[in-house]
Amino acid sequence: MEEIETLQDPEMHRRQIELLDGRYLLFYTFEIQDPAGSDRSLKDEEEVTR
Amino acid sequence: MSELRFNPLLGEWTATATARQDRTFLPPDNYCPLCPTAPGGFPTEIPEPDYDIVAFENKFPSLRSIPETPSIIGNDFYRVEPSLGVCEVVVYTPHHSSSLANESVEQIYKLIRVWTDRFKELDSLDFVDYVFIFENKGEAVGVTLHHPHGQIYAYPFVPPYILKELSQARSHKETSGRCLYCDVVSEETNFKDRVIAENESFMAVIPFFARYPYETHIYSKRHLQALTDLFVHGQRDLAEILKQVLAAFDQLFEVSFPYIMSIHQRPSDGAVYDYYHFHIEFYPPMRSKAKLKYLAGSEAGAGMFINDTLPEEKAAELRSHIEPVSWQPTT
Repeated sequence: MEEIETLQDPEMHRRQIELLDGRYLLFYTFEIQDPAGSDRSLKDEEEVTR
Repeated sequence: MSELRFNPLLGEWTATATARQDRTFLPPDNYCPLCPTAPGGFPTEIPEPDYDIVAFENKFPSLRSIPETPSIIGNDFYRVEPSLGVCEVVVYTPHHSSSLANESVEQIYKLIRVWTDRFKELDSLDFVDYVFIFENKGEAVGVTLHHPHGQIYAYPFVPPYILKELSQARSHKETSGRCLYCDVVSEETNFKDRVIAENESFMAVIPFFARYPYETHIYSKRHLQALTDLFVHGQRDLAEILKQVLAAFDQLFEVSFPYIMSIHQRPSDGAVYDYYHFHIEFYPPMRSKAKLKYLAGSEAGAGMFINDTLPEEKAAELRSHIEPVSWQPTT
C-alpha cells in the first residue's frame, strides 16, 4: 500500500492509501471540539426556500 | 462480468454483476474482512491494526469508475451500458460485535461527517448522477458480513424510487406552492401520535402511509436537500435522533433489530432540486418478535404494500422505548 493523499480540516482528518489491488481506502480520524455537544451556538445557516 | 441492462417494460436499469456471486459470505468471526489487521494475523481489507472510521472501494462492486466491457452488445430496444459508477464500503467501528445502535452518539456524529465528506466528493464526479448512502443490517435483510458497516452507491442515473419521489415532490410544489415533505412534517406534527422522537432540527415518525410495521422516517424540520446543507448544530441533532431511534429499535423485541437504512438526498446531476427534501427512511423487516414482513405477491408482483399493522399503534410502541441521549462516553 502507498499513502497518496492527506486532507485535513479542524475536526476531521482524512488519509488515503492505495491497496495492493489498486482500490483506494480512506482512514478518517477526528479531534472533535466540544465532544459533549453542549455548544449549540453553532447554528445552521438559514434555509433557502420552503 | 457486469453491465447495465435497460428494462423497457419499467423504464429502469438493472445491473448485472456476476463477480458478486463469489463475494465473501458470512465468514467466521476470526476471518472477518472488515476487522483491523492484527500484527501477524489474517490480512483483512483494512491493513492497519486499528481505525476509527474507514471508507474504501468495494472489492465486489456492481458499479466501477473504470467499468468492464459489457458481456453482450445492446441495441436500440435492449440498451446496454457499462456499469459506470462507484461502490464504497463505510466501516464505522473496528468492533466486530457492535452495531450503529451500540455506538456512542459522538461516533454517529463522526459517521455523519464521513457521509457528508463522501457525498461531497462523489457528488462532484461528472459520471455520477445520484449518491445513495445506505446500511443493510441483519441476516433478515441479506447481509453477507456481520461486522457493522454501511455502503455507498454512486449511480450514473437517478434511481427509480428517487425519481418517483422527485416527481411527487415537484407535482406538489407546482400545485400547492409548498414542499411535499414540509407538509408531511406539518401533518405529523399536528397529529402527534405517529411521532416517535424529535429535536430542534429533526423529527422521527412512522408516517401515515408506512408500508412496513416499523417503517420509520427521519425528516429534517428545515427545508434541506442534502447532508452538505447541514452545519454542526444539525449534524449533532441528526446524530442524537439516529441514536434514539436505533436504540429504541433494539429495545422493541430485545434483539439487535434488522433494518435497511436509506438516506435520500437530491440528485448529483447538476440540476436544481429545491423542491426536494433531505430525509432518512428505515425499512425494518420484523413485524413482531417472531415474524418477518416478506415482500410477497402484492408487494413484489404488483407494487402495492399491505401493512398488517396501524402506524399509530406501532409508533406508540416505539416511542415508549425512546430515551434521552447523552454525549458523555460510557465507561
